[in-house]
Amino acid sequence: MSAPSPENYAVVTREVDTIPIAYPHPVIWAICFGAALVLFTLFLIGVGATFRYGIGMWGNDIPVGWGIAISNYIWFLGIGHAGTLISALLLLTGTSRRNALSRFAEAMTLFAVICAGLYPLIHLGRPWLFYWMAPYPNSMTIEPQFRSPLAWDFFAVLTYLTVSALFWYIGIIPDLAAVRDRARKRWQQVFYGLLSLGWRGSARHWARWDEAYRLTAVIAIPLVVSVHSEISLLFAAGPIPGWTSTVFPPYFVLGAAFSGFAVVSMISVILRHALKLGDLVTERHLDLLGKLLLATGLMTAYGYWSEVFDTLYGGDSQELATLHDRIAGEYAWSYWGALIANFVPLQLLWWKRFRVNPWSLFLIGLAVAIGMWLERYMLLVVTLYRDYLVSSWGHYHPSVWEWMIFVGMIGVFLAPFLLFVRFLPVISAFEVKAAIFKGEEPRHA
Amino acid sequence: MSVTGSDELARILAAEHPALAPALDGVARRSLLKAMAASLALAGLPGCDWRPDDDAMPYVNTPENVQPGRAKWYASAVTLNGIAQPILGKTYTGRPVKLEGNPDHPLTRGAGDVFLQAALLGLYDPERSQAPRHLGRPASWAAFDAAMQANARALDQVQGEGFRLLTGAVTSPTLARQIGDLTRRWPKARWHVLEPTREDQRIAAAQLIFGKSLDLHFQLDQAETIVSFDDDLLGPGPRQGVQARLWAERRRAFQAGQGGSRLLVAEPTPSLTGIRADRRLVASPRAVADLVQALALSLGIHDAPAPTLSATAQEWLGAVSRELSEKRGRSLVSVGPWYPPEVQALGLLINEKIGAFSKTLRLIAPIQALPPDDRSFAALVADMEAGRVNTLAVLDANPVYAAPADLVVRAAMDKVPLRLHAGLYHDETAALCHWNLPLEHDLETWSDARALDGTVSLLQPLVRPFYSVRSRHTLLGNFAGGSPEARTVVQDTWRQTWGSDFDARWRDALYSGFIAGSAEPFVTPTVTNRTVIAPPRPLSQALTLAIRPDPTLWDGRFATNAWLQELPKPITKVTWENVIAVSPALAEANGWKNGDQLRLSLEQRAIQGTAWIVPGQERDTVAVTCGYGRDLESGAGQGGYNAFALTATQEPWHRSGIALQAIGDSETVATTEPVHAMDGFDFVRRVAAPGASVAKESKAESFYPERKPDSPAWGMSIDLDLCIGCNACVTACDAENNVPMVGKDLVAHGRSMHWLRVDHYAEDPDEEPSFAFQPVPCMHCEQAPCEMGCPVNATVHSSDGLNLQVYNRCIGTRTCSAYCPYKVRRFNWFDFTGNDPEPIRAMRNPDVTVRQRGVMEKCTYCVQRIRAARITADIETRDVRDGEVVTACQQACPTQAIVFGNILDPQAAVTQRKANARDYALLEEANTKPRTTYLARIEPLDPVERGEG
Amino acid sequence: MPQIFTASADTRLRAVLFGIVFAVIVGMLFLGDILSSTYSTRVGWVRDQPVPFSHKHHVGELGIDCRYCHAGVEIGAEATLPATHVCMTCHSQIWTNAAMLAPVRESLAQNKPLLWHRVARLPDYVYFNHSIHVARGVPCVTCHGRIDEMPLTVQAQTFQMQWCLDCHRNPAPRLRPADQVTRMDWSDWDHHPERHDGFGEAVMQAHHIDSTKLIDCDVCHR
Repeated sequence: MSAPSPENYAVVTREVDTIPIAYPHPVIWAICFGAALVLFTLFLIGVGATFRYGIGMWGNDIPVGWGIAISNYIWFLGIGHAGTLISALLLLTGTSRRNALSRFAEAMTLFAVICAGLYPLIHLGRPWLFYWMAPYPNSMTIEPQFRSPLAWDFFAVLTYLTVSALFWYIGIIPDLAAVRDRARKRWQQVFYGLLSLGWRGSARHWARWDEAYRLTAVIAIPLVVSVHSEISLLFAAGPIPGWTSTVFPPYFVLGAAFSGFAVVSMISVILRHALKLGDLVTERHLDLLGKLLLATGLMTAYGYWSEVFDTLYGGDSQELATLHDRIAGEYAWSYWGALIANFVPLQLLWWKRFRVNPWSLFLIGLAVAIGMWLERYMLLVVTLYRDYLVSSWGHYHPSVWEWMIFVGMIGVFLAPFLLFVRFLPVISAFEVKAAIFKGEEPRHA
Repeated sequence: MSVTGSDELARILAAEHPALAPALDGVARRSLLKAMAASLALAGLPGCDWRPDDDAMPYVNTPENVQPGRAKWYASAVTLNGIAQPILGKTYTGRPVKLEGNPDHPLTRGAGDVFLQAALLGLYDPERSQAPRHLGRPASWAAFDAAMQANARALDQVQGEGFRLLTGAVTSPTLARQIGDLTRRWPKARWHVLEPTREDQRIAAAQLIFGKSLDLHFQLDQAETIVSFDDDLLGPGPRQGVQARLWAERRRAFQAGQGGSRLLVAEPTPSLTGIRADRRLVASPRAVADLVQALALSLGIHDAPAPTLSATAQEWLGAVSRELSEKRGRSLVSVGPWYPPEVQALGLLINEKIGAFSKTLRLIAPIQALPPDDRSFAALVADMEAGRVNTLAVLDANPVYAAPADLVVRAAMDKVPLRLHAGLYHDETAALCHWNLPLEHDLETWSDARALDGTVSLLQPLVRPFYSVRSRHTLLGNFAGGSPEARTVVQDTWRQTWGSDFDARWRDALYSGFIAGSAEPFVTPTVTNRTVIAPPRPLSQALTLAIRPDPTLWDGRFATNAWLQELPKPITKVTWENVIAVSPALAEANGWKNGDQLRLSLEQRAIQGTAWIVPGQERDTVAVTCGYGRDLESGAGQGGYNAFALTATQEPWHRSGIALQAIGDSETVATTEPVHAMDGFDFVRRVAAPGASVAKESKAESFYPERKPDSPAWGMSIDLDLCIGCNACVTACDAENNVPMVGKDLVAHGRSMHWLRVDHYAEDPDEEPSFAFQPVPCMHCEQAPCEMGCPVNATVHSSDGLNLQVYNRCIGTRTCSAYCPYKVRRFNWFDFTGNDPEPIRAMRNPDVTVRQRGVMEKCTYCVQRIRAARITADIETRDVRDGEVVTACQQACPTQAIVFGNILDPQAAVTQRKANARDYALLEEANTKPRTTYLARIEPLDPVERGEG
Repeated sequence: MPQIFTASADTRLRAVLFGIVFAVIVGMLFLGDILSSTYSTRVGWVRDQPVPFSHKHHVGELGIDCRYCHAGVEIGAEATLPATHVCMTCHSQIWTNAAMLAPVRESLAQNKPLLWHRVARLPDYVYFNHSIHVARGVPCVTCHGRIDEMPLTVQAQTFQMQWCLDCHRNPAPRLRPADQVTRMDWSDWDHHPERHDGFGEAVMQAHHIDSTKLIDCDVCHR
């Protein structure tokens, strides 16, 4: 296939907008989607059992009342951060590198946030009463308790979900229109026709669109920071050694972006390969991702270091005990696992060679995703299983049901994402074209 | 549908509540339905509206002064080893829901123990046998009566030849009278007693030197120095409540600077007494006996060759004799009931020498009625084997399970043509008997029993029996062919003693719960025989086995009682089984870990149990407890092993020549406290003298606005110097607050639901650790992290300073528990109450919500009691008086270590407690400003340690 | 390429979107109404009883005091229903053979309790104590309505938390002379506020009732 050139935007159009209409490898896609559905079923079974018999089905106990449900909540939400961060930031700074990445990064955000949002609901003891978290007029004349981080989780997640959905959808409209115009089958025409909300590409449309898009971007940026800062309070607000720390908000936000970029790198490498987008998702994009990953990674590392330093410098005996439990306790594997998976492979990214190589980037991204999961787990479990009173020390081992829900949750993420890949333009074609027009997008040798 | 004796209901009951089905036979139905009516209405049977409280059933004719929804209290007693534990029983419309010690009783003054508290569950226990059976099949009482009359006629011919009655310990004057009548009528019949945990060696010791059997009374309130040779003065048993109370009186005086309170203990395995001791010597049972010898020798009581003692032992003994000489007449020496009569006798002679008689050690005529030949159980078994017994009537005893293993009771039983078993449960003995006759529980029967000092308590029914059962007195009458009515039998006894003014005194006795002035007078004994030579002990250097009653199941009679099964053992915190306690050194040497399965063999017999390492246990002593390994029809109480399989008639409590080896596999033990080391923290603080004050930390700043406490401001103070770790508070809390029991697996999983836990700490070194107990309820913090964490306002602060938990608002995020520095919150992981059998529903305290699945719960400071008191006070337009609100744990505490009240009332007991210099807050650094605070333990150094000795 | 959408498509799309939003809002309002309707609160509903007992007759016409039958109301949490014997004190004399009263006579004869269906039912998790309310002068009518005008007894109030709190937040206006709690008709009292100006406040003063403490959760939930 020939390199795109200012002369024929058609190539871009063909590469991107024809995907939904005539998908290149339907079989492989079907297999993947089937797998995703299987996972989804696992999720339903796990949640069903939990709702039927109670949270006792999980491995939780006193003292460890929270388990991987909450650490996954934080993890998924963290992943969600990359999409919006990348798009919005880069959109506002006007650089066009994002164009190739933004669309599926945003989609990933959307579905990750949905997964995250489900966790607080299913971990409730009486999930059927979840709506008590929301302020609404009721015959008890009681409102949520707004000093509680959880009460704010409710708003944080909902707001973030709404905004990122809007941002994503607004961005995709022009491309939906393009797909509509190329659609041959009737149902496709109607389907994309409805989704593109009667977009005709008139100057007025473009003007309005540009306004709306930038506006949502402006709203999205502070959210990225506020949401995960707020989530971090879930821990930081508890007077428990290992949690009560002022470094948590920035620490969590950076960690979130870090894990997010990791997953974006993985996805872009896969899509690039699967959909032959090699000349749209170029080495420069991979390079960019690599750099972002490295940067946020190093900042996260700083967070680690400062935590340890504070503990040693502060010298509080309880904090020291918790530190000791982290590095040498029953769950030390999670601490060292996080440390190694997060920061050791990361160092390769100092060399461009590894940044632009899809597979090294993919593997490093994978390592970081795992590493950050271990970190969330460590922060939660190690702190809870041994807090102040020796007499109430305990253990925590996730039950098969928790693992089932976790694995299933990945299905909850993949199933819609695969649908997106299959039926919607995964890359912002019109922006790429604009870039080409501006001559920012280079030719390939 | 109507809740009366309709067959329709009978059918539904049988279908839905099998536990009750047998009880629907004949006589009991009415009473059952009366007792159950309210709870059935609650339970919501088919045909009712979905709302459980849909139906309302007024009385047909309201009984005198019964007010539905209003508690009535009745004075009565429950028994342990036949000894009365006086109680007040709280009942709602005829259903007992809570037992408390009787504060007016001259001896106990309301002191009680876990067994007293848990007796309530014993009453409602669905495992109880509920209808008579013949050859294992349900039978009618009529058939039984007929059979007995025939049998009695036959026995009359031969003057009762071959009739044997086997009972547990008997203190009931009425039962004694009935037995007397029986043996007079049948001269050749004989009565035997089997009470496995009875102090018969003590009685024998008294025989030895006084020439007559006497009961010992330790006046611990007089004793400034107590030397205990492996005697668990504060430990579980019929003596616990009383002795703990008396000791606490002395201790409080000592705290106030009046006289001393010293406790020196030599023991092989940690006991509650040892943990409370000022100086604890770890010594093998043999060494303890030697110490008694040596002390006797040093006091010139005998001139037997001096036993060889270890250096530490000599040093300890030196301290002992020093203290004894200093505190002459104000000191006491006690020898554990586990030791042979000769050693006990030496103990008595020592007490005589140190002037303890009729000062710190009082003696009374035995309160038990004893058969002519007290220790004749062996004789009974021999006669059975020889076929000299043709009718064996077992009344409230379990020989097949609890008899010393050297007597082959099982085989002997077969040789008896007619075997009758009357008991609360269908137990091991019942399985081998022709007739199984269900007994009435103490709380539903007419009877009488004597407390430790002989004071007689009247047992009156708090509820009509709801199973098809009979009382001891009726059944004893039945054995003799009669059919007396229990109440009249008891009344007859007292009519004979009181004569004309019977009616008045009977009414008083029923009202107060005891017969005033019926205590045995103290006797000043004369020692008739001073030449006591302790027998040469078998000098085996190998392992020694120490067998003890279980702190929660006692001798196994409570095996089906979930409150006691799930009650953590005071020291090991193990639940639902008994373990084989080994010393750290021994475990080290053999490479055993907690949970390893051990095979303990002795002679031909062997048991298999779980190894548990107990710091502070003597190196070569292995400690086991009785009461487990039951073989009940229902399958309940199967956990653990049966230690009675290792006992012997002659040496019931200590055996040598045991072999112990690991059999390879290991099992999880359900313990509520995996780690016992304090890890260098100061959760339990200690001071060196009564006046001394604990180190106060500088007041930390808080981001939150200061709460201005508003009167009443409820607060609690727990004196760790008085706490003996007996667990009475925990069981009382379970009973008062409908705390669900969750079973072994969930306890092992860290999901036990106790609102109040008693933490046990054992600090290094493992050989001679320093111990401490610390009860931990909810602290009701003024700056409560949980309140900040809850997103739905389910846990909030009340104006009187309570940290409230609103179950119906809780959605179960568990944030409160995550944020709680004390981890006192408990979560309903499953539906723990939905499947409770009907009797258990009937037992619940109607003042406390039964929690739903998925909600958090915790100690409420017994808010229901606070509210009740406030309503009473408000109606009378006055403030709540100090002491008007008594929490369940406070009421149950035999040493009154727990005090509760309004901390803004300067006169209140709690305020004065908190003003004490020893007052400190747990985890002050967490800055939660708890309303529950502690008083530090007082651990004075003794002369030697001060370097004066 | 043939047109898929007519010119009016945009308009229709907008209409649909608006319709959805509208439907959601209306639906919520409707749900709210159902929950507070007498259908779910059961206010004013008659339930069939073993005996069609008429408070209108006994209270309104015969003027029997509430406490004659509901004897527990002053001493305990529960007002308690009358025992069959209480009914028979009169009905052994009058209406001795009324078919209507057959169940009562049967109950006495066979010593079976009458089985009433509750009308004023407390929600789950709530502990209510009659005695203190009566002692402070909250008249029966406040919660039970004009019983004396009910031929068949119905629930008069919603018994929702909101309703309880209305009073607990501001008790003064609801307080009446404690010796007249069973009085049903307070119209003149209501019409002449000047005659009892500041009465409620005075009561609250006298008994140190602090309304801020009346809304502690543990007042009703334990």
